Amino acid sequence: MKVLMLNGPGLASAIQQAGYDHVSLELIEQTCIRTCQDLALEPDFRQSADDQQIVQWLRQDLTSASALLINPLSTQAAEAAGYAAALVRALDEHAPATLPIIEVHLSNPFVDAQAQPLRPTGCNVGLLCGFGLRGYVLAIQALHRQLAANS
Amino acid sequence: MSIKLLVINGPNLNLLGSREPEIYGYDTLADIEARCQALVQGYPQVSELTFRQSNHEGELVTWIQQAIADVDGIIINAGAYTHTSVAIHDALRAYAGKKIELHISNPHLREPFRHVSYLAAAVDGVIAGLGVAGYEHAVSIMIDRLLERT
Repeated sequence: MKVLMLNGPGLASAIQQAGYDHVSLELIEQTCIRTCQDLALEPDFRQSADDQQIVQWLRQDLTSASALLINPLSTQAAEAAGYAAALVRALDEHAPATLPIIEVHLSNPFVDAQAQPLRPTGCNVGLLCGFGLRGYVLAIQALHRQLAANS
Repeated sequence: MSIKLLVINGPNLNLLGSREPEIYGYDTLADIEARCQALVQGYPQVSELTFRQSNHEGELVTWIQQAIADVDGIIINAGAYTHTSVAIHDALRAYAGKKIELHISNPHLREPFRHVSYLAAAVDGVIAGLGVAGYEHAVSIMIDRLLERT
């Protein structure tokens, strides 16, 4: 079972802002891949600085995934281009209602209203904010648990 | 190291298992507590995990205040008070230990009056929408954080 893991634009600055100096994209990727493998899940980890690429991946590859982990992130330019709304639209159009989805944020976006969580209408989204790298691990474990419960 | 944890549950969570099970599941709060207690058995560093529930806002505030003295981490599912209570926000601000806001469903996917949390800015992290399993995930991540694992 494939877990699609998408990381949006601005990850490097998000890591910096969160003060997670020991965390890098490479470390997140390695940790996610290892966590998936430990749980016999197939990892598909991706990151792009291009917000449209994230939306396109959702449109193209959601139907072949068993679960989705998404750290949407954003930049001012992406926000101005309607990134958040495009993500929600892509989820509403392409995510099956039963697809386990978890949205991860490294830091707690509610402290300074950095980001609004995704609000699709047709699928459930779990939310894990403020746990750094550990949030990714927990998200994969939670997705695994949901997949086991659904099967 | 001797870790003390407190799980605070707000209004209507005493009805878990019977209230809107399609949203909140069929497990009772006692079932959830039993699983969390079993989970902490695997951590010799945890000396105490206390579960509490109240329908009264002030009681939740008092429990947070009392935790200041000797509790290392609070997991709080404040239920509907999440979206109304400045008093719980203030109490959480006064509490210097680790704190996680927990919800069974994801409030951001529900009615607009649940989209604002008065607690989220006063906690370290938020877990929502993972069902009742969120309690075990919260306990596990809280212990990890207290043990300084990343």
